[in-house]
Amino acid sequence: MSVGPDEEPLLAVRDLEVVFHTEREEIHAVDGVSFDIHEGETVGLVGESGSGKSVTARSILGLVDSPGSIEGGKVGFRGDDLTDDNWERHRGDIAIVFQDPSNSLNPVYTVGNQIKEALRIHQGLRGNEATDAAVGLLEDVGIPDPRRRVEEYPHQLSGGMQQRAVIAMALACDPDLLVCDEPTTALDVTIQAQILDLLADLQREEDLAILFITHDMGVIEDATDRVNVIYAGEIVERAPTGTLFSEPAHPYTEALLRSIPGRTNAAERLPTIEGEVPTPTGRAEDCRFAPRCPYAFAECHEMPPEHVDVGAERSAACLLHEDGSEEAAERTVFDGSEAVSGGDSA
Amino acid sequence: MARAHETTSGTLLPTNSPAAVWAAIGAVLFAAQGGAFFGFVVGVLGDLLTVTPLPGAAFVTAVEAAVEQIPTLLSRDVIPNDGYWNGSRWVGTFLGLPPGLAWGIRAALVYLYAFVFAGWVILGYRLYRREYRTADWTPRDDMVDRFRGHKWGIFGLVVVFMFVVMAVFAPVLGPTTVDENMRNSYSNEITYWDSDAEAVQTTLVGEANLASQSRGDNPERVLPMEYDDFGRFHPFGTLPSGQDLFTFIVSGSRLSLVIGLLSVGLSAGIAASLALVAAYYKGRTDLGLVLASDSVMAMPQLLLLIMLTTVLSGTWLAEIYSGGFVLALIFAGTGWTYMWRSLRGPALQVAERQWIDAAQSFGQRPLTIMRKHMLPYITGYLLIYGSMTLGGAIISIAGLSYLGLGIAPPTPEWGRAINLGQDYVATGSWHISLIPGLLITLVVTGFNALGDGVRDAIDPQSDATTEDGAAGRGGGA
Amino acid sequence: MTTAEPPVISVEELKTYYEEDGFIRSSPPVKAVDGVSLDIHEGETIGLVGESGCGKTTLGRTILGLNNATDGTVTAAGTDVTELSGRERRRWQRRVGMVFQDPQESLNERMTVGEIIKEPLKTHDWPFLRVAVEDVDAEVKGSDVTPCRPDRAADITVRLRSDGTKVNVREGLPLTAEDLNLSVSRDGTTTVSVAVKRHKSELRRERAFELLEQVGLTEDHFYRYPHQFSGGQRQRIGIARALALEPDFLVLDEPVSALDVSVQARIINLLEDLQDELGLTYLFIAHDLSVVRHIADRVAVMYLGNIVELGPTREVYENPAHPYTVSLLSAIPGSGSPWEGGRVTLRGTPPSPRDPPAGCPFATRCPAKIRPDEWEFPERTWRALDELRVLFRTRARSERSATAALKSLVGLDAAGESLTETVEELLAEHDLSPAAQSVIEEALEHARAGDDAAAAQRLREAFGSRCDEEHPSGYDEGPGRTSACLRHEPKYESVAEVIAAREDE
Repeated sequence: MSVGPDEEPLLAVRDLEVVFHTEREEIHAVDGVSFDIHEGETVGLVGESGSGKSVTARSILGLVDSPGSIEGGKVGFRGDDLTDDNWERHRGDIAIVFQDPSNSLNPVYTVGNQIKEALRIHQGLRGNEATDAAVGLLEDVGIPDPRRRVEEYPHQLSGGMQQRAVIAMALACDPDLLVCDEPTTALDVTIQAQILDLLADLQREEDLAILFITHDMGVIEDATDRVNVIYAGEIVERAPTGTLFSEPAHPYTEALLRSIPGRTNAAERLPTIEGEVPTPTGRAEDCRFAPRCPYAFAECHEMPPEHVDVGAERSAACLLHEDGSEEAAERTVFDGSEAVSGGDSA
Repeated sequence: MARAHETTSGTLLPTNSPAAVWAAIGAVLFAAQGGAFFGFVVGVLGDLLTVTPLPGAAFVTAVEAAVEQIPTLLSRDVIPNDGYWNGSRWVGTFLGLPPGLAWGIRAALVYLYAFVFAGWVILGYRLYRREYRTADWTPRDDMVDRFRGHKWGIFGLVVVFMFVVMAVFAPVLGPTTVDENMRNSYSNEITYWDSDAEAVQTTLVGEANLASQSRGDNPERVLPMEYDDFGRFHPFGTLPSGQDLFTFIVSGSRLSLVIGLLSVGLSAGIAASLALVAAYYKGRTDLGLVLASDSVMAMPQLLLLIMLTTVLSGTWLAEIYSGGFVLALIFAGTGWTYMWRSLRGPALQVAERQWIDAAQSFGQRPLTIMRKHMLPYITGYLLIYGSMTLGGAIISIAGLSYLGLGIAPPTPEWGRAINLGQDYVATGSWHISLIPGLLITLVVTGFNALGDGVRDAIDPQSDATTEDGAAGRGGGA
Repeated sequence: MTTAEPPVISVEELKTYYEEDGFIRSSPPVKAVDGVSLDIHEGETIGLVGESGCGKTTLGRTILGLNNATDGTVTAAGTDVTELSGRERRRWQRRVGMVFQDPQESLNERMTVGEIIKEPLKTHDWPFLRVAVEDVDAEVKGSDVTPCRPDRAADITVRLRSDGTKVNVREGLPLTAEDLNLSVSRDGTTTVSVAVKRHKSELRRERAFELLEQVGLTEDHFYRYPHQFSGGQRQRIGIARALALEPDFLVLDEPVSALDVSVQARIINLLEDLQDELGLTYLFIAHDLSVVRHIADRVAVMYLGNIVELGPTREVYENPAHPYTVSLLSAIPGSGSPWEGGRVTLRGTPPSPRDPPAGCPFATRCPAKIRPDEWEFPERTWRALDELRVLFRTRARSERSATAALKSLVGLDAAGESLTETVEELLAEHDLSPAAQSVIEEALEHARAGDDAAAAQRLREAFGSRCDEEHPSGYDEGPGRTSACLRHEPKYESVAEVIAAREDE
């Protein structure tokens, strides 16, 4: 869905900071994350485990519990800052779909019951009206024989159907923004294809904006219009999806793309990233990817990189793209097909 | 694999081997009271064996007698509480102090020793953990740390500890002994100051008891912390029979503890084994055991007890601990079902974990799997339910003794003390029922508190993986 | 890896059913593996792909002996390992190792890494120290050693020569000839007594250190607890444990599915390295097709307990023969996908393994299903009819809640009306001939009477085809390639053509 850059974004996250205070340390799970979502578009947030993407999703909905709390930044929804205790005002405008549907559905209530609960809270429907609406929602998400299914319990549905039911629940509040936190990770690939098709259809029909969070680069490529790559609590690159995959600007994105088995010849070794994802225990004082980056130089370890525009509607937080940097003069935008040393450390 | 240290931070002594110092302290402590420890162990075994038709019973009695000869630091000889008031001063007392105070000092020193000993054990553990253990951190450490901060649990631990000390050091703690005051009261004599005759007189203990009975509001009654007419100090007063209540209580505690431990130990053993077997094999085995345990649970425990006690009375089985052994067996035999039920859930959960599959995949034997891979995960629950059941066992024994069904007289038992004093509750001899009652409440609460503390320390939540599925993905290689 | 040599493991018509283990059996068994035949050759990596519930994990576990086979055989070195039990089975489990999926769950949290890796060694009292005496017929004695059987490789070889005895210890054991004390006595029979100077537990510890290094960890990880490691490292520990007893064959059950992409790459590289170094044979079970493509030499695609396609990886991926393989490949998202055509989205969900379809297991969802000649419907209509059949089958199988049963008893059942509604909605835009309409009416009659199974049956009689009747056996689709689809018979159009044609409709 093409969108003019002058339009107000539906969701504007600015410098979000979420910190977890445990007995031993302070973890800055989300450390200065900013991104926009406009109406009717699908934005991806991709990162590995420990990157902070799930925490970001939860903080948009105000679901961050102790020992974590939002300690900085704002989450702007239609202009209101949600972090200013505005969650309740916008309940129903944002809905979330979690990863494991068997965890999202209460096993002792029927599917219909749970959808009707959402309908009652957000649309005030009751009784037969609510049942009809629930059946309609199940139909919208593609569950066959909805009149029967509405009376069934979650365990009687397969994984894919359960996830559809969860999406139906999310749609019950007629949201403007649907946050999907790894919605297809627990599903088989053919069912995943169905769910992705469903989400695309729903977006068209209901004019939904979707925030799609996952670690699966392939899904991101197919399902999103724009992508944010998150690493150790920070967004390192933003770009329209196609461009990100053909011309990654940040070394982490490049390395991530290379690690995908499908992109390497079967006879060759898979390229790997040395080192491990750091746990951010304080505000960033340097580039968090520097210890693992094949292109790192001295300044990378001294100052945290700021986002720099690297093209049309895209930016990357990497010193290589800073104007005036020597290394930048040597390489501008990476070519996704370049082969860097493959191989891992023991 | 001990690491070498030049300086050990935290130890006050500039020594190269804190372990040696710790061991030396331990040796000293042990030498001081070793006799009492041995006495406890041998005494318990002796009570168990003397009435069984097993050979070696005579051997045990001989050992018991020998053990009593071992000199101990805090014994009746070192800090005696006899002596008398001759109208103007204390004669023949410990350091010229009133006998009551002497007793108090001895009791306090016993408890002081016990706490020092406990401190020594804790010190040893911390030393081991800090200096000598190869692993930097084990899962147990988290549990121990959590327990340390749990006030209610610590309270429970202290109460239980004091109870155990009471049981172990019973012969030393009482102002007199069971033998002298109760069992062979007509074979022992005491000397006392007769204020009328202005001279030291001798009388049989039994006679003295008769003159010190607490029956309601009678003038001879002896209330807690009082001396009787014969110059004897009674910290808890006397019973209606004139016997010393404190001695009665401390020796009864030994019985309660031993029977409690026996029955809970047996119960736990049966329950844990069956739970592991049911969880490992699942299916029909589990179903069969559920049916069996339901059947056992359906049996009325009290009726069974009465029946068995009657049937077995007169046999050697009923002689052990004056019927206490039979009680323990019956409790174990009927009580394992509750623990089994509680353990079955956690055991089934553990059986689903993938490391069990992994062990099976390389051909590990079932018994070893149960022991190594399942048992450590239910010991926590075992401790929790075990400590609570122990409290329950003590109450049950007391209750049964109160009803006259449990421990046969004249063996001391707390419940019986309550029974003995029940007629006098509203009179001047209120202490006879009240004190044992309060003690039972305190001890059982202590056990429950300990169980609470252990349960919170175990905290299975922290064992589980994070609930965020995506975070369950492994990062880093 | 050649196909001329006999396979290391030969699976034939293997069936593994899960029965309910109670006193009364109330439901049909779950047919997890339903007639699988597969040969695995030495040194190769066979990928086993399929979606959840297809039985791939059960297949791996049955080969290993973790599940009991209901029927069929798994032959390894001449013996049917499914018949083994007790000690014999444990012996077999020494030769096969398994790597599990979840690194958080497959290691016992309360044991140190060293203990975890040493456990298989301890269980089998490794090392076995098989002694073989060359040239002379001699008896072998010694508490730590066992005489070596003639068909096995020896760990310690003793040569009795006139110029002295020579002892050889094979590589791979943390033992040298100096650690042994040999004495030979020759009165009547020659007896060789071997004493080992080092304790077995010491040898085991050395082996554990060696394994740790092999998988890319260090010696001081030996003393730590799993909790202190990351997911990838834990998976390395799991691999070390699987390799402890020097197996030749490893079953890897989704070993990288729970790991991040960058970590995945490192573990895959490690597995490939280990295979080269140690000459291992892998059965690599996964649902991620790109990973399998990278690491497997041959791939077997499973659906509902059956292998539907088998062949060399490259060929299967570039030119899939079975309609399910086509759908599977086309469902992979992203440009890293090996499939270049359009997406063939499957409808519905796989049938329950308790009640697999008679005939081809894929018949209910197949995009290339053979349609009976009597009817001339567009593909869309056929799909609607398929959905209708699935609807009745699901209803037939599903439980009825107590309230629903009560309602129907009392006559409050609105289900009959809602059923008609549902059916009408389903078939609304489709132009059905009167004959077809009457068949559907008959089916509805059955359903309203409560007999959903009969309704499904009626539809099947009328609209079903060979695919619903016959269970296809494997057709030869090229060297080393088989595919179980009736369309491979020459009289039918090819799978690829049909799918393309129907997608266009």
